[in-house]
Amino acid sequence: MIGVQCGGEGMEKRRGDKRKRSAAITLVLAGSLTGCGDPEAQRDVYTNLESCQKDWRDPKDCTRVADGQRSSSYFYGPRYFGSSYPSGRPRSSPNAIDAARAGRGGVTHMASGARASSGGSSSSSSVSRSGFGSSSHSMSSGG
Amino acid sequence: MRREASVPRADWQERCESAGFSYHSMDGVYWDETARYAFSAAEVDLLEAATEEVHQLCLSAVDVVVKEGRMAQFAIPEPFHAMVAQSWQRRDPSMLGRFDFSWDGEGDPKMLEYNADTPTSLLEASVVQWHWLEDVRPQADQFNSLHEKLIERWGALKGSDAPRPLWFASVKDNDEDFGNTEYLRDTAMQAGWDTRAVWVEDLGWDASRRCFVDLDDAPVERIFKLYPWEWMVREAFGPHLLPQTTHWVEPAWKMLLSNKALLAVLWELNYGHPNLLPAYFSPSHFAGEYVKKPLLSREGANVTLNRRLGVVREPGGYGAEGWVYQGYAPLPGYEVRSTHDAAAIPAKRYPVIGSWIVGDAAAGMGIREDDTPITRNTSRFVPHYFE
Repeated sequence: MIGVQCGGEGMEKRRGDKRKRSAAITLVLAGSLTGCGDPEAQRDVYTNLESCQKDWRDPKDCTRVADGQRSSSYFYGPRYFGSSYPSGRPRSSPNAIDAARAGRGGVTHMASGARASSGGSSSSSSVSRSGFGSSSHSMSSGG
Repeated sequence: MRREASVPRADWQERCESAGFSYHSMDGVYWDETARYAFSAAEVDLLEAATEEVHQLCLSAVDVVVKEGRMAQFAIPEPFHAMVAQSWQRRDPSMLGRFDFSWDGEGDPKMLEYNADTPTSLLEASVVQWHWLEDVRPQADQFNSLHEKLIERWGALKGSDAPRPLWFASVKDNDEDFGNTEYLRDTAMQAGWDTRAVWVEDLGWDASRRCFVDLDDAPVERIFKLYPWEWMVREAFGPHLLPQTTHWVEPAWKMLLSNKALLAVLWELNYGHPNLLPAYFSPSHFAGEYVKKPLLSREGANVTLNRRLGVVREPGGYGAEGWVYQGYAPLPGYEVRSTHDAAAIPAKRYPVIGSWIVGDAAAGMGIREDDTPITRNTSRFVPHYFE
């Protein structure tokens, strides 16, 4: 898990059952947000080896998470340069659950090729898309 | 309830961004910690009770609308009436919603509207203002157990089954919607769901299997969408909703609550309720001031205040489906004096209280503030505390 963990246990003791605030907040998806500039590599995060290999084929490209940042049952794909959201947050493959920044320097193992499935390319002829979304015009759909 | 000046944290941008709140400065200023709102515990208790009370009134109203077949009043296209009714009869589970109240701490909070289908400002209400409280007033409390209640609610929806795929969809190229959706995905993951992300525009319809699919053509059986039902039913894939092969969060019956026609039905069923404002489908019931609202609109668009002092009108492209006329409950106006010119006429800030429901429980509050009496998409989010 990526930690944005703030202690709140003491608050629970202080206020007892009248507390109306969350005791603690942990986020697992909050990524680092970086500005523009040099391209930065990313690594996609997969819940299992099968999902990772679906994207990268070569099992050597998929490594079990061992950095303590996430569950050790997850897998990292190789470092590669992908696309990002307007905020700078990297976009992950549809097969991955998240994408992590992998730094601008010292990249030792970059992906040798493009992802095997990058969205849409595997669609069968019976699938149509873009049937939702036309009312938004890139504006917020919320209220 | 009072408004106080507050000194921004030196690292407030970094604190916001560490939570994925990258859009803190959209439209110039969005997250605004140069001020804060202070409440008493009794005021928060009252607001919490009002929120749960109005929530129950809303559920009762849905029941009446479905049983009496009144969906035409809500401008729901006829082919979808049965789908909405069945969704309610099955009690398809709801996740959350946000009531907007006009209130200054005196008397009863008055419900202005209910963002029941696609409420936003969730990440800032749940996480960002919680961080602010930890940093600025750690001894104080906050009406905000959103994070805990979201995880708990996702857990209740999941049950004891093995992790199942749950997709989360928002529109492309909108950081605010993405931030809200990713935060909800985060809480679902913490509740044990196997989550996937997909853009609304990338959802596919597989004609041979008659189901919605993701970009890998995997059937989408369960999905949270930050995309309004009223748009979905009118777009190209709308007819594909009718086979009901997908479980949607929020469910189709929320279409009745995110529609301003609800306001008139609520008043009809609960005439004189202290948390409701008079509301009708015609302005003829009002001799004095009232507010004209489109049945379907977002972020204050096309809202008109008919006041004795003059008319205030927000532009927009809504109103084709009809209108509702609601009694005017002015937002409190807090004077803000210029720090540069003590003789200048003070400006006013108008806060609206967004009170959250998760499942059936009141879960927290977020305050948005505007320079005008109409809350708009450019209104700022101001944190709060209580003691």
